[in-house]
Amino acid sequence: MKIKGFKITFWRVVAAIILVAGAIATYQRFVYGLGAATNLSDKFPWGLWVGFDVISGVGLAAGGFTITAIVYIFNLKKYHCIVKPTVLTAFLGYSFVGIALLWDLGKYFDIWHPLVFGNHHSPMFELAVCVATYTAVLALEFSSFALGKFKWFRKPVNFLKGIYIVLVILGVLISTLHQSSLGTLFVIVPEKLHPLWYTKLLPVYFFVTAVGAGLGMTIVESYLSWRALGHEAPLDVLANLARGMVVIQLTYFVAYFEGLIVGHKLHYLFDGSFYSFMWWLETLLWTIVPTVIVFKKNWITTRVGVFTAGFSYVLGFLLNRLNVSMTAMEYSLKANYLPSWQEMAVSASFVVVMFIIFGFAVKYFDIFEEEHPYEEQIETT
Amino acid sequence: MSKAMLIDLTECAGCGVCAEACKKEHNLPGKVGKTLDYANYTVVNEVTDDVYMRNLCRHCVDPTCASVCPVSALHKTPEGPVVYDFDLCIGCRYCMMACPFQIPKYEWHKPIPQVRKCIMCYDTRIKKGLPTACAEACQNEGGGATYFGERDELLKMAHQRIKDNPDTYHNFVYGEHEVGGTNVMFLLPKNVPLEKFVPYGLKNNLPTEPLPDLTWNVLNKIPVFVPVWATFLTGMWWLNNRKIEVEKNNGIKPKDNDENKGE
Ligand code: SF4
Ligand code: SF4
Ligand code: SF4
Repeated sequence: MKIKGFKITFWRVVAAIILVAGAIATYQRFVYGLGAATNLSDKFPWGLWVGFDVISGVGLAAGGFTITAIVYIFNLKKYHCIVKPTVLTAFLGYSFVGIALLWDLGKYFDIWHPLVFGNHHSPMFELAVCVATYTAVLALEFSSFALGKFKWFRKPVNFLKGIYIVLVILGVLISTLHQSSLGTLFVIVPEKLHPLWYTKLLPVYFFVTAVGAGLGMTIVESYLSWRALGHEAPLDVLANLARGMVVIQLTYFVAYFEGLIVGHKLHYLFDGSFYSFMWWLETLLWTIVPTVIVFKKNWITTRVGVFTAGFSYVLGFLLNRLNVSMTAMEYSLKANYLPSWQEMAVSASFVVVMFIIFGFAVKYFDIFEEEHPYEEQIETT
Repeated sequence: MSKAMLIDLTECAGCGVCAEACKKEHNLPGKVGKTLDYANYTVVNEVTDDVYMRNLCRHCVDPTCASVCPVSALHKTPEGPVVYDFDLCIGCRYCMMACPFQIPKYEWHKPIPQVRKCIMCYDTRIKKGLPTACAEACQNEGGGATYFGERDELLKMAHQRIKDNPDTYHNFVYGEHEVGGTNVMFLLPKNVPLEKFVPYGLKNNLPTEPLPDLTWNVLNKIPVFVPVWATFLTGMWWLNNRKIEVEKNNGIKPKDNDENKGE
């Protein structure tokens, strides 16, 4: 895909079709209501727009806090080259989660209510406050390196650079809270969620796997922008991210699996049901495949190997979040929910728009241009 | 003082006057249905021959729906009913997801929908000290199965009934302990096992602790957790940056140092 000059390519046609479908779906949704545009019902009130756009979306944007923590708090400077694209993706991701929520909320124009009338017993309130604040933090982080090229912004940008570490720590703190509260959302339905996914430790697990997803997404992005835009992050950097990702995932998996044993839930893995199948698929994608690749020396040293590990993890992560929010709920609600084409079109449209904006932002804000580490910059200005 | 209802299912005739009275009281459109939805706050279904189950909001003592609502659009009144405020609601439908009895329903067909459920006739009756419309109709025209009153008195009455007729009733009051207790309770006929009622709105796998405790036990850790985590992160930053400074002072260029690369 080329950015300059408008050529009709296969992917452009696909993108155009998706956007048109998304526009029609949007019209139906806002004029005729949720019932007309979605397959949601009293039996199954949360579907793709919650499970994918919000719950998975926030998780997949976790690269922002993961990478900034690695670079600025743990001072692993060699990862600095991927900070900017990751923060950009996170910023875009969070903005889109907020926007996508408008489609799902019955009273979308009251989306700000939780910030004013908050009920602090509700995990959703915590989520709302954290996502709003973190999007603001990401906006500041992004401005600090995107707006430097404009003269008038020099002063505020230098100020932001001066307090960058404060932004980073704040970002990690808030992310820890809301990544885990995505899991807390489901802690209150012990008798509804399928036993394979319900545990009181969901908040902890959601946070830990979000870190993994942050690393996985960074790998995928780097690969995609290498393919599409020709920018290349050093392979050893990405391979190390994959290794870190697998270590985190294995740690999580052992803890989680112990939970299955202690809770006498192992038989659910072998009962041959749809749920056990989904569980195995998820486990294959985000635990087994990445682990095998990472420990095979001649696979992890290739770009394709690293990408496959990252991509597989991201798919597994996605499946896990959809499993928790949809599959595991279907178990008790006895509903056969499949998203309508409108729901899929809207979700897909958001992905397309994000790709387009990312492409432009990369070009416009010199995202991949490596700068000096931030301290040195402060000194010279 | 907490208003409640007791439904003695051995006395329910399946006539449905409760559901009709409710429609009238709240101007709900359409005919009386068989499943709860935006136009049916309560329904009566046949479980087995001549045994009926009446489903409606339980007005939980510690309501899950109110606990999860991010804006407190649903809340428990001191009088007992759990009521809804459309102006506050954002339409997230978390209440529908979380309610252990799947009670709140949505106006899916409307562009700007409301959550609908039984509100125990709060505005029109409870506030004025009157019994609920369904209970009144049931006592006057129906089988006389739905009783309205104070929760503790109804409980006393229920246990008295079980004691007097141990062969008629199951040996428990459904709703006395489920999810921490509810303000709508049931007496079940002994000849029909509890499982039979499950498809019609009673559940047999509910814990006795209030469900809101589960999330609150997580959320109340946040104020404790934040300062600890913030200190740790700041400390790590200080430690790792100091290391570089020390190395600089010792004449080692940080770039030459492989230790940071983690491999
Ligand atoms: S039964 Fe459901 S809707 Fe009614 S008070 Fe309890 S949690 Fe809320
Ligand atoms: S749909 Fe409305 S009442 Fe239900 S939890 Fe959301 S804001 Fe509260
Ligand atoms: S208490 Fe009132 S609102 Fe609830 S079912 Fe009875 S009549 Fe309807």
